[in-house]
Amino acid sequence: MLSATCFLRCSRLSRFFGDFAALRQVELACPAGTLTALWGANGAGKSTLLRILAGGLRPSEGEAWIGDAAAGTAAARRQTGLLWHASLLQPALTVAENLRFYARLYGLSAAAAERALAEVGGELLGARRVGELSQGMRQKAALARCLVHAPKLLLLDEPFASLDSASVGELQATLARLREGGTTILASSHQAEPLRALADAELTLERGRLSAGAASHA
Amino acid sequence: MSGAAKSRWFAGAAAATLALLLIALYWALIGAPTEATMGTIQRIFYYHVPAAFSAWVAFGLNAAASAWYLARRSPKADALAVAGAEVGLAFLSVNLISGPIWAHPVWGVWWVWDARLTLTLAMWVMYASYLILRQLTPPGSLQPRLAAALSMFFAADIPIDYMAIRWWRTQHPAPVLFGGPDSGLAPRMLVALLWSLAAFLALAGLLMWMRYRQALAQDELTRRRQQQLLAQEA
Amino acid sequence: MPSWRIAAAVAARDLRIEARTREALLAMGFYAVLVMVIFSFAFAGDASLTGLAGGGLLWVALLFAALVALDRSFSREAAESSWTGLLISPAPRVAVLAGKFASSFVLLLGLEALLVPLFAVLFNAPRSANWGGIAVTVLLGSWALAANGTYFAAMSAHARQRGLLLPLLLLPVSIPAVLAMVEATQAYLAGGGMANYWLRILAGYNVIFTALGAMLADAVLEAE
Repeated sequence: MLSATCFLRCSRLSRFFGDFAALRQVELACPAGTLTALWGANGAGKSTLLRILAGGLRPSEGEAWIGDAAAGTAAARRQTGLLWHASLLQPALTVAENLRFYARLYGLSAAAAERALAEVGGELLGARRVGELSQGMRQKAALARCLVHAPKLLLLDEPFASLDSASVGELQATLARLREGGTTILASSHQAEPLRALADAELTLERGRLSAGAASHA
Repeated sequence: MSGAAKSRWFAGAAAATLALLLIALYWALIGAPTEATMGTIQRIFYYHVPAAFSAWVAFGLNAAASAWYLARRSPKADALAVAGAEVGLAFLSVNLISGPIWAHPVWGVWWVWDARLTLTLAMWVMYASYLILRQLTPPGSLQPRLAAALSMFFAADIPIDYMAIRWWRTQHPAPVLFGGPDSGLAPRMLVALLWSLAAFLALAGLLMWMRYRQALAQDELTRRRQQQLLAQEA
Repeated sequence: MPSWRIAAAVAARDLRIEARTREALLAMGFYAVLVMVIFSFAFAGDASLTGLAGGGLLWVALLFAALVALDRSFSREAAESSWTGLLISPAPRVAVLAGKFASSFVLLLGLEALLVPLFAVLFNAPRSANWGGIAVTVLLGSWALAANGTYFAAMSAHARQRGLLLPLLLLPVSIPAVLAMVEATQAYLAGGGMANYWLRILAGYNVIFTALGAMLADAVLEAE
């Protein structure tokens, strides 16, 4: 059953790559302003699910809804931000140049880019070229990229991977703050601790299916 | 139409096609008179011309099916498109190979860059690239979409090509080679040509039908396999 | 935000990256000069041969350069998966494609500004040549290559062996345009002739195929 009040909803979502079933009839209902953790081993389908919700991949079957809009439509894309394991930033350009580009791409002014950078505490990174940044700083810049258009849904793929403990703390604080602000968050990981502390609910994907004992939101 | 009825239709169509091919063969080799200047080699004409005509019909179907696919995303449209392209390319190959076989003894050259041959070669390369595109893109919703878009480019391109190449040839006339394939058709030759045309079109239609059915069956197979994967517990 | 501003942003980004890395320009220049050097062996400095086939030579060199620029336009997006960033944005696909076209077009023009004079010098182009006409031909021809090339580069980006597929898709469809480019250039090298007719074909080709590419942009840039 899809709860009409849930901001993020999936119904019978399936995705095939040739003969391989990456996702099998996934059902999802995340209320607004909650953080849901998505567990699963490598190859379980977490990244595939996030890509479909972000509009980067089409489902083979089923539907996904973000607010009132179907995933993949322009309206849904405007409300969705994706933090990927790659930064999606051009290495030859500075962080500020990359962010300004994304602002333009989403139909916003350069001020949105500055705001996003401030939100993640990355003002000092603005003039640095992305190619020169360390993994942690690149992650921060990538997070700023997601936030440029102030999305209501934030999708994160392995956000805590290869971060040092200070950066982990910063990211947790940022995510908590975003959640307070009403952002719906779905984050995948195969390391439990930093995410578990934040999660309102937990889901587990096993070979494309949500396993029993999956999600309930309090 | 039930499976059994379809099989009966197919058997009937195949038999009719075979009959047409045999009649055409008789007329091409025996019924038609030997051409005065070129001799026996001229009989290739009865295969060379209908092959081109059938190819054009097949490509036309590919264009129409591709437009239909872009409008409606119908799997039937895609099946027809690939059938048209493959069969068309096969028949165009027959045309391109039979031409030089005829030309060499008659004109003394294998090839000339006249308007018709240049256009035919260009079309061959286009549809070959279409099939290579289909081969190299992953199956799923992507491959039919990209192929259909490419087909639209061909549809826009071929008329322009025709105009441009013809103009080019009027600017740089090819050496005058008499005795082109269409010159001077005696009545019995015309009959032979028409039988051949009928036979080739029937064969092209039959082959396209087979390929179309095969493409749809492949789709169905994939769909059922996917349903099976979904139903599995593990 | 209107689409043209998004297109401008995409073009500006690509050109800025190119200005910093200069990867495409160097490769383009290298291939084009190499082609001319190899042809010089065939022509052996005989001026009359330039009159007969100079148009063809110039455009073979420019075709090589164009293929490099077009391939780079999309392979550049592989860095840090930045292509995904473009794909998941709400930006209209036409705008993204237009931006890519614009940056390839500008790069081509930049290269040609160097290459055409070089060609004139290396191959002793005749004094009677109509350079204004050649400039217009180069402009229209580059548009044709960049427009269809961007579309087919986007198409090949989905496939295995992208580098093989791009020329395979682009060149057959470009035949009428290349014919027109070569013939017009050849005519202008001789001072005039029927070049006007060829330019009209080229202009018509550009209108039709730019429109077609814009109409079908979604087909080639949608998610898988």
